[in-house]
Amino acid sequence: MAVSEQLKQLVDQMPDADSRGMYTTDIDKDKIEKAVAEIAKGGRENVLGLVEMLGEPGSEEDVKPHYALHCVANHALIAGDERARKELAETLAGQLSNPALWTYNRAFLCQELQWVGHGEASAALGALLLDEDLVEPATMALTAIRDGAAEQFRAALPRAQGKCRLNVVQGLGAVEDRQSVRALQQALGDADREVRLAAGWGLSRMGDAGSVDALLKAADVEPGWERVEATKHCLVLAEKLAAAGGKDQAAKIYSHLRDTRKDPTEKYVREAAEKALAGA
Amino acid sequence: MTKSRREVTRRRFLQSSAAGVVAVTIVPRNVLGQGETPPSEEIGGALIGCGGRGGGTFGCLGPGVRRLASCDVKYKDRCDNQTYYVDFRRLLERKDIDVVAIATHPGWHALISIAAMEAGKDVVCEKPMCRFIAEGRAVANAEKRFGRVFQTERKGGYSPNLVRKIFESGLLKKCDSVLVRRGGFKVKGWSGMVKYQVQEVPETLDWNMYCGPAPLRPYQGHRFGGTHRGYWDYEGGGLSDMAHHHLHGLAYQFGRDLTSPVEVIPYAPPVHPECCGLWGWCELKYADGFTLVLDSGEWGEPYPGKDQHLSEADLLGFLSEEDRKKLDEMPDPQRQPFFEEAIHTRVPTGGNAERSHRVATIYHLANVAFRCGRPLKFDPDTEQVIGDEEANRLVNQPMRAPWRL
Repeated sequence: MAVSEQLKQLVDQMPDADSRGMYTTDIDKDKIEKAVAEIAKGGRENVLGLVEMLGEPGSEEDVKPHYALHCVANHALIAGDERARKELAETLAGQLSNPALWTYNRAFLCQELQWVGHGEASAALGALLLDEDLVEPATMALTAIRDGAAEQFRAALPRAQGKCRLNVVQGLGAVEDRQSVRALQQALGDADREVRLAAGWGLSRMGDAGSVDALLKAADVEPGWERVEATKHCLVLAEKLAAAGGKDQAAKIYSHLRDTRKDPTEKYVREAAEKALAGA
Repeated sequence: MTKSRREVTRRRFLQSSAAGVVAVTIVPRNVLGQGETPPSEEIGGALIGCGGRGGGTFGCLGPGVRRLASCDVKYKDRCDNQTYYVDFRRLLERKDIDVVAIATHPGWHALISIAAMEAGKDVVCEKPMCRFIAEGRAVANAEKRFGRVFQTERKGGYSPNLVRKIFESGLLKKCDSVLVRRGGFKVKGWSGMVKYQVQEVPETLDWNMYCGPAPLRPYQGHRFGGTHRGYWDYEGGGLSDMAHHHLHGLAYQFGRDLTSPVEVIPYAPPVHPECCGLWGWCELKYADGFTLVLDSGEWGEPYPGKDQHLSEADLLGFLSEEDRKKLDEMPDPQRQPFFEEAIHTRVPTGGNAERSHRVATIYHLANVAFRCGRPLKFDPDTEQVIGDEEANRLVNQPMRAPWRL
């Protein structure tokens, strides 16, 4: 698709970087906002044009369309124009699989969807969860969007390996997907320590009463970083349970930590548990 | 001195300091011989983030702290996981390290502070304490959960006075005070580069670890070192960098550490998605009627208002006669200690995480409003922007795995 001359002229009204490569001089708010509003009026075609104009990271050709695209995305939010927001998000989502784009720019589109996207973008972001180069920005965007994210993480989990698996497991915890409790409990036994810890984190966030024994077991590993983190997960789970009325389950966690953290260097954990028990 | 002796000695000492009462057991230096530090005073410390501010931040731990280890993402060439570390988690596993100073870029401040407290360490963290609001709440939660001592930089040694007492008393329900903080935010100085050259990552630098919870960007030198301040990935421009200095004491004085603003009105040009840049001013209003204004003086028209009703007499005038009598009968606010005292007494420092979080919320909210380009309403209890889902994505920002709050 050819970029229109009108769009080029509007993009050219974005500020020039100063001699240091920064936006610190000649920043005319009114001029920028008027140009952005005009670009936004062009709808989908102009958004596609901006995407096409994106260049290599940091390059002269990339600076203005990069900034303009973000301003146009934010313009829809400032205007409270839900139709425009949705159209823009759908347009950006449709470009995530565009092979003509640099990986850097596809990550940038994920970032813009993190800013402006809702459920309409989830499936396109979910399609990147098995892509090692883009799983991170896609996961961050889905985590921010939440709407429809759990389904994408769930669908990706069986085939996700390595870095993708870690992102998917952490994503399930981040969106607190209760349908994935069993999968996360299984992930507590994963060969990858980071996956184990991400699973424990997710279960603790959800305040899942059925995970008390599993999290306590996970926290009784040899002293070291995993024990520190897994112990935190137990305390967070206990706090969640207590707040939800599950005082007995919370007391079980605190009692376990009180009785097992005997080393002087874990005295602070014992004290935290004792304090919580005293306040229960 | 062996690791175990130092550790046991200090912990025995702390155990003897029951209920916040200082029971100092000093062994005179002349008993030990010249150059020896009494075991009751020597504490194992570590510095995480050894760049420009590192030495100063470590100094905030106070005297008597022996630096046992240093950690920095640029130590790939010397990392031995004994004295030099690249991964802070390995350092935090050590049992002989009691206190930690953190002077990384601020994108790491909250996560490492939390991790250190989870590992039982007391913490001094360089300002700003966190990069976004939910991080600050998580640090305050960790401080409370693990009963650790935390201090932001060297903040908090404030002398209680009548103005503080008025706000801390809870008697003042309504005022129309305005406090305008003009200039000193280094806005142009700490801006990011929108145009740059992608460069090779230096051999000694673990760039992935440097980026940490932020997106893994192409390397360019301006993102590394002190100029990290110009990027949303790692900090929040001159506002995040300088406002903690300007506001910590003012927030204490005028009770703005006890709650958060309810309304935020920004004046700035459209903000770049990755680079911090120019802004004019931000008006932050509180439920009690107090208005705090941050005015950069570096872009646009200055804020039209000025300071009003900030004196003791003004503030007392907002109280009824009955409330003034109640105020007289109330005890004066307690002075809070610095870190070196607090690790012995276990009393929260004046720069504790809860206060630092409330202070950080002021300038982070301003930055959220600048970036969103619209006024915001904020709930100080839930710490969420009201009715603006997208703005809340900046209040609690996703992190790159395996990092998470």
